Amino acid sequence: MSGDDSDEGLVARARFGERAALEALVRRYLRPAYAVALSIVLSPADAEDISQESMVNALQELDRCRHPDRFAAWLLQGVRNRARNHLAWRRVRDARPEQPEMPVQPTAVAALGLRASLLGALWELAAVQREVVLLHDLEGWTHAEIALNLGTTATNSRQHLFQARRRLRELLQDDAPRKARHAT
Amino acid sequence: MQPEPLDLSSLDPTRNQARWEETIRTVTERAEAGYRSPLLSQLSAWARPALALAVAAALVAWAPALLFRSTAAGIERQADPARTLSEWAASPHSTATGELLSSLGGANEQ
Repeated sequence: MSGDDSDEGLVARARFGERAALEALVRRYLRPAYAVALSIVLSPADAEDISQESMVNALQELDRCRHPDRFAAWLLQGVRNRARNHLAWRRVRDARPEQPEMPVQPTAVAALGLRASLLGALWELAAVQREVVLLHDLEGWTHAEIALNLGTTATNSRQHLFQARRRLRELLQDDAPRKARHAT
Repeated sequence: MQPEPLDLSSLDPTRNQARWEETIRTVTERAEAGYRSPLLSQLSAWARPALALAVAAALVAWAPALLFRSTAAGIERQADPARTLSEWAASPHSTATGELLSSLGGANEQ
């Protein structure tokens, strides 16, 4: 079915249960939802669960979205809340200081090792820097889009990205010689 | 000037395209399954208060009518000596003379 492809148009059609509109919203925003969840929980598996649950919940409660043109901001706020709740629950469950998810055997698969290094480095950043760098470098969002959805300015977003990339490079370069020593 | 972007592809959930498509399908289906039309939501939201109002209105409308009808039927029964006498005649029990007089007297008074 053809129709308005803007967020507002898709939300209006999804409110009447149109499957194509629901799927279009899922395709458009499930990845950003994952990036935001990952920036908080730093666990890809948990981030997938949180983003999927938040998306299902948001789509089932579209009547509560008061500004359909700002669906993304509304959805991502729900993702942040759910991710923070999850983090609090995990903290209680583990009863130890929160840690990013580390694979049991980082040397087993090279990709997993890289992923663990990245997660470890991301952990060193401020929450807002993590969210900006993931939305920009993983999702390809523009600074204008990030600013709109984070309630900040494009200039601030650029600044956060600058600091995040620089810090990540430092951390990953520090990590590289250590890894080489472990490998030999 | 911005530092070069890092390669974050190891964190990309869409690296396994087939798995990602399956996720999209599952999430869409779950959202669709739990979907309630706005009309249905409105109706269910108003169903309880509407039902309560209807019950209250019915009580207000029917209670006096029901009360009045039972009282009126009692008076009607008392005021009809012919009916009382025929009921007594049909009954296997004998009727006391006092009752008989009282009944006829009550009719005469009216």
